[in-house]
Amino acid sequence: MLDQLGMHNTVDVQEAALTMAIAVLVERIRTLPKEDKHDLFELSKVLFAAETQEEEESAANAMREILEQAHINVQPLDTKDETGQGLKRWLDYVSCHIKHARESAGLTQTELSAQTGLPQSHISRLENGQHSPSFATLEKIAKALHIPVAELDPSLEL
Amino acid sequence: MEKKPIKTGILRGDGPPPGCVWNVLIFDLAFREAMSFLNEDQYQHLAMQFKELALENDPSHSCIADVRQIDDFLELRDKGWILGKINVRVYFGLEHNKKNLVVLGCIKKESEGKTPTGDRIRMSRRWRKYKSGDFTVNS
Repeated sequence: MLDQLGMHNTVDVQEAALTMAIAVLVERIRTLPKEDKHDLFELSKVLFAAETQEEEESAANAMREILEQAHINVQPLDTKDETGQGLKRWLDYVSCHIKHARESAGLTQTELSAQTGLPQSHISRLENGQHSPSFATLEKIAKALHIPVAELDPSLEL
Repeated sequence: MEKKPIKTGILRGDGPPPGCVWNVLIFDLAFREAMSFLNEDQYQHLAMQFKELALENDPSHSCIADVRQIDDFLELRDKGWILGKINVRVYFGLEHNKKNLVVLGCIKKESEGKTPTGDRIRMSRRWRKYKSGDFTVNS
């Protein structure tokens, strides 16, 4: 079979596959939208100049996405109200600790709101376990209450 | 004096849900990226951040999350307990005229620091595609 194709060993097969892959790649690049071509060119420079594995992988992933030209689908974000057990445990823990720390500092929700810049309604939702605080929120609360943020987020002690 | 009739009806359209300033939409690519390294609880935690951002008039200057401007889109940074050792970055754009907050993508960052250039270009391209109408909406 290989002989019929003029190929005499696996090196020939690899060469043929490489030639075909390059031809497909060149054709794909040729038909890309102009802005995608520009992005691809910028990314190739980033890829060759990358000094970290993270930068290299980031550029390679972006190049792959451009070359794949996959269609984009958009949908409403599913923000269902029920929470999983892990998140529920976290909400129970953090809501309780925020409330306890605020009361220990002798502050009302309104006073904590004024010191953190967080809306009072947001603080109320946090203390009622209705919202999972971002790290930025925990930092603001900890700073206002003069406590280490690790007191509200035990993962930081690990 | 004649009483004016009260009009009742149902608003039809794509406006934000009651109480929200913004509709939150997500790219299927972003959802797949998120689920490749987040568990269900971690995903819900991040979804909650966007539910809160949807209540704000200007999510680009949020007081409830670490949101930073990158080019013409935004980056939400988060880490901590529910996220474990994951330092997560979620990218989104604001379509002001339609009041859509569009989640473009999500990456796991190995360290603190700026978004890798490849990811910045990738998200910028996705936002460009969205703005040019090059997408399909699945409801």
